[in-house]
Amino acid sequence: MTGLRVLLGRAWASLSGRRDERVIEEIETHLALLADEHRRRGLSDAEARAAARRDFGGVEPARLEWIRQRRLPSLDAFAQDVRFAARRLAADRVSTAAAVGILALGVGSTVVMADMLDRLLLRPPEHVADPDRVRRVYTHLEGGRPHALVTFYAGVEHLRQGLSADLSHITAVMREEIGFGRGPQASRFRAVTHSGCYFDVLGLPPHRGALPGCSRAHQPDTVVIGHAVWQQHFGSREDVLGRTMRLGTRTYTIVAVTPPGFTGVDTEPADIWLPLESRADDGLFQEGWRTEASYAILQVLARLRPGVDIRAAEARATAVLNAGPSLGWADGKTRTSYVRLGDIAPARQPGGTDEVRVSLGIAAVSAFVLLIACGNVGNLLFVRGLRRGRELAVKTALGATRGRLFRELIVEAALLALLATATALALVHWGGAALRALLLPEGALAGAGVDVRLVIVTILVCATATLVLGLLPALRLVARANLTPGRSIVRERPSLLLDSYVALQVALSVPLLAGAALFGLSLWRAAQVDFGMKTSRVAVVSTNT
Amino acid sequence: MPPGSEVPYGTLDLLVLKTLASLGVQHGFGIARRIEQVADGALALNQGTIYPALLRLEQKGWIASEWGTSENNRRARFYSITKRGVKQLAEEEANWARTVAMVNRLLDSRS
Repeated sequence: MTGLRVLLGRAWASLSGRRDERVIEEIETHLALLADEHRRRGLSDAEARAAARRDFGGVEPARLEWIRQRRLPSLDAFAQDVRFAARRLAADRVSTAAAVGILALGVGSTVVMADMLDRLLLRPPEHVADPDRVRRVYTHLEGGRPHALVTFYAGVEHLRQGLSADLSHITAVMREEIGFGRGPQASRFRAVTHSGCYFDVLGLPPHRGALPGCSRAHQPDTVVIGHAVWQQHFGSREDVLGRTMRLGTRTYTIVAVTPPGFTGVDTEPADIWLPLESRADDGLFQEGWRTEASYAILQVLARLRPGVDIRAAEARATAVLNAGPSLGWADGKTRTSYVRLGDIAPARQPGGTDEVRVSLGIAAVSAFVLLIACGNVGNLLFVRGLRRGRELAVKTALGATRGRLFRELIVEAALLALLATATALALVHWGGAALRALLLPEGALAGAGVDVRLVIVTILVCATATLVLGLLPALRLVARANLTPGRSIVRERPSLLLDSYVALQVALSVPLLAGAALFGLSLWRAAQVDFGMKTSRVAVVSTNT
Repeated sequence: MPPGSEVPYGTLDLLVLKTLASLGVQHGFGIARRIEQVADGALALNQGTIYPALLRLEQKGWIASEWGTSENNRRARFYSITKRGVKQLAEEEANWARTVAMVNRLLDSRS
């Protein structure tokens, strides 16, 4: 414990840059007391001072030994390198800012896109139990692209009865927006309207109350609210259960609150969950909606029984679907609809979605931008290194070893990495939300803010890129044999590596520039589309019912 | 010990602790002088070595220090032994006694 305390104290003395005035003052007092003794013995002032110095021994070795004991010499050297590197970076602030900015932009955009793809494609919805068994039902014609099955209530019931061996639960869902409240305070909620077993399909644990399900008879005019609605509209009140909400033209009683972070299983988040029957009674559907094909507005979610093979279940579901009530085709012909039991995340639907395709494209572009950014920063650091040739040569002439010079350059690269990482993290934090807002529906994939994994990946990518880019010029400079004052260290012979490096940069930059130009052209053309009317004076009005 | 011998390796800390335990609060010069007086010319103490030793003992918490005024009216750092230092001194003294006894036994057996 004492050893650790001593070590920490010495480390602190090194890092805090404490000076050695104390020992200088102590030694001066000591010498003065010794000189006084000698004067009392009859020596002259000069003789007394000389005798005092002789008795004391070496003043400078004592002072240096005291400092060595006071601090950690290795940490002292490191702190000195850091201070020197900071001064170097500040002195060359234009190229420092450029390197930090370019690298942070490259890393930040790549990581944000990787995060968005992770949220879209890889991360299962929060709180859903055993999400691999929860499937969204898709159909497609022979050779066609799958799309979410849209059917009517009787169709869902038919699937439930026909697939009871494969599915433990099945539910019909539809999305709608519904008005909340009256007058100026009124707002709109994004609602999931569902049939009985919705929460059993998801296996969701409630945060408050009891979620309606297959085994609990659906009470009419009841609503489940999301955790965010509970917080924002009910102030997280403990007595929220049993309270009523005016939704549309009816009053609903709150029976449960979903767990924090759960916003449904669609790309667009949901605020509240309503029973299909109540919405039908509210006038959304006419009499006979359970059997009429004209109410084919329901999508289907299902939970597979444990151990069921998806391909076999799809084959059985195809047979059941085609044998059941059909919407019919306009031309009167019969066609086979093939069922696909896709992932619960809409972004992972069979065949992919436009959002995913756009996101993958942007992610690829971001990776290109990162590569080009790395190339530019590498060039920048290399040119900086060349400008320091004279300084390094002088230091070598003064006795600095190659190891010492290398350490100096690597500390500078590490400091640059630190700056770039901090900037990249800020970009990821602020830019990530902005990019999601730009590419996805409002509030989609919102949630936990900056993910810890995202922070770690950003730090690793950014620090590695900067260190490697800073290290290469450092190695090249320090390893050169002609580090002698007065001699140029600019390369005299062509370097295949450097030429290939420049060629690669050009090869990456040209398609990106061409792509950017084409994108700009497409945007300009989109803005020039003639709608046949003046759109500047047209408003879209939605009512709050 | 022949006149003017170097301080035996590793014993300076023991000498400083013992001096402070005997004399109470002292500055570096006083400690060095006291060690030389007790040695009575048998020890050539390089007085500059006292300061790294004082710092080392202070870092370990065995002595404490504060600024004061010396007899020639100069600012000086005054050192005193702490409770942990007293305990450590007892251990060091016991160690020294054991070492001396062991060396004596070894020398006796050879003669």
